[in-house]
Amino acid sequence: MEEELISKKDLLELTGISYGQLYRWKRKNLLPEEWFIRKSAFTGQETFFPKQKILDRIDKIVNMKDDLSLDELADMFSPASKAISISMKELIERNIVSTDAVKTAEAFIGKSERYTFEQTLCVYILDHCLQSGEISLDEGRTMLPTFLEHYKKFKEQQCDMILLRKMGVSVLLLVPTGGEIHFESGVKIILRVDVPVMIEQLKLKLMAI
Amino acid sequence: MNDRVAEREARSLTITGSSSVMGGSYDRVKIVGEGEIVGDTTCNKLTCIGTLAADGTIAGEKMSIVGTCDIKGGLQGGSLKTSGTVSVSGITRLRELGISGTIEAKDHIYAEQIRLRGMLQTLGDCEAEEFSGRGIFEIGGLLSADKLNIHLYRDCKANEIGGGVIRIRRASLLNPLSLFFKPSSSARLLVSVMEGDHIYLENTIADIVRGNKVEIGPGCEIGLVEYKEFYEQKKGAVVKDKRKV
Repeated sequence: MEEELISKKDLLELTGISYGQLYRWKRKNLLPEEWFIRKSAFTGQETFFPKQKILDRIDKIVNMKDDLSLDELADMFSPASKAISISMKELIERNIVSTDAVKTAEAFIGKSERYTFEQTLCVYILDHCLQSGEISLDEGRTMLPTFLEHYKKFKEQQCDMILLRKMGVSVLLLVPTGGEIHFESGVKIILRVDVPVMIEQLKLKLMAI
Repeated sequence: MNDRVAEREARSLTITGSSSVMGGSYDRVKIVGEGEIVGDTTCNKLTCIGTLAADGTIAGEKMSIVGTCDIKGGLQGGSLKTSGTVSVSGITRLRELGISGTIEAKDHIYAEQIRLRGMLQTLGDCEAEEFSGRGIFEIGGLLSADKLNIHLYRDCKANEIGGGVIRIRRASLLNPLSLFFKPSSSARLLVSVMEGDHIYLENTIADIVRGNKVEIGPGCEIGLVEYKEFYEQKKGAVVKDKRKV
């Protein structure tokens, strides 16, 4: 999974933002430090970025910076859990998660009137997987406890969740984001979920009232 | 018992003479003489005249240090004014930082505003919305600010500089500060890469300068300038290569 990189110069050209904005967003933690990849080029040292990620992020910042302050944006992009509580009814009404996902998840995260961000995230990811049609409810049931137990062990929750299947037997694993993995033949990757992306999506949906 | 008292109301801590105390949560901390604080400390106001050694993190809303302060943990909070020497091993994160003395940091320094009238040294990055410097700095990583205004008194160094408006000038002899801190006429800024929207440079030695509008003034030696809209080179500047991108 070699990511395509884009140089800083090309990025500024393509997006029309200025050096000042780029550095300001970096200072405000809207652009994570690990996206700044320093390489030496024939013109001296140059900074590169993972192309797709940075373009998506800049697109979001540019579109939303009129409505939200930079600090609010930073809060949204940060992988840290937000301190919120929301009722499940509202989540279903607002179409963030489906009723099926809620029912399945209840056994693991407990039934309560109001859900924390972490609980919501679990349901959201489960819902996402179920909606994709790739996994069965049973697999969803094994997924949740595994996810809950391990995803916090990754630095800033930078992990991917992968579901494998070989001869009908499924295996679930969590690996660092973007990590390369190889298998014996016959193993099929059913699903790969980028957790930070899910967190960001969920925050975005929760904020859009 | 300390905890219970602290819950009721934050007490004040005063050290006069020489003493060692436990950290915790205080309203005012005042040290005249020699103090040692063991553990993390939070306070509203911190005044140190003399010597303070802290082995944890210090967080204060309003801090003023005259003398020496050695912090093994991080430093965070509202404003810090120092006319002494402050050394920090952890991350420094403040709203306002006024340096008339010296600050030496092993890690990053983040602040909204940095006003430098003395010396700033860090092995990490230094980030601020506004950075105004009349003094000396040595930054191991990136110096980043929206508005960066520097008057060179002695040789300054940074690995990278980035931001919006960057102005580097020789210090004028007419500034009141110059009366007791005479600027050296050969003071230079050494930087490997500099990037900004508007850049004006004097007495700067850089490998690469990239910007929208770039003005290279006297005393500069630049390897490569890349500019977008505007470029001007003044007399007494050496630029090896320049290109419009």
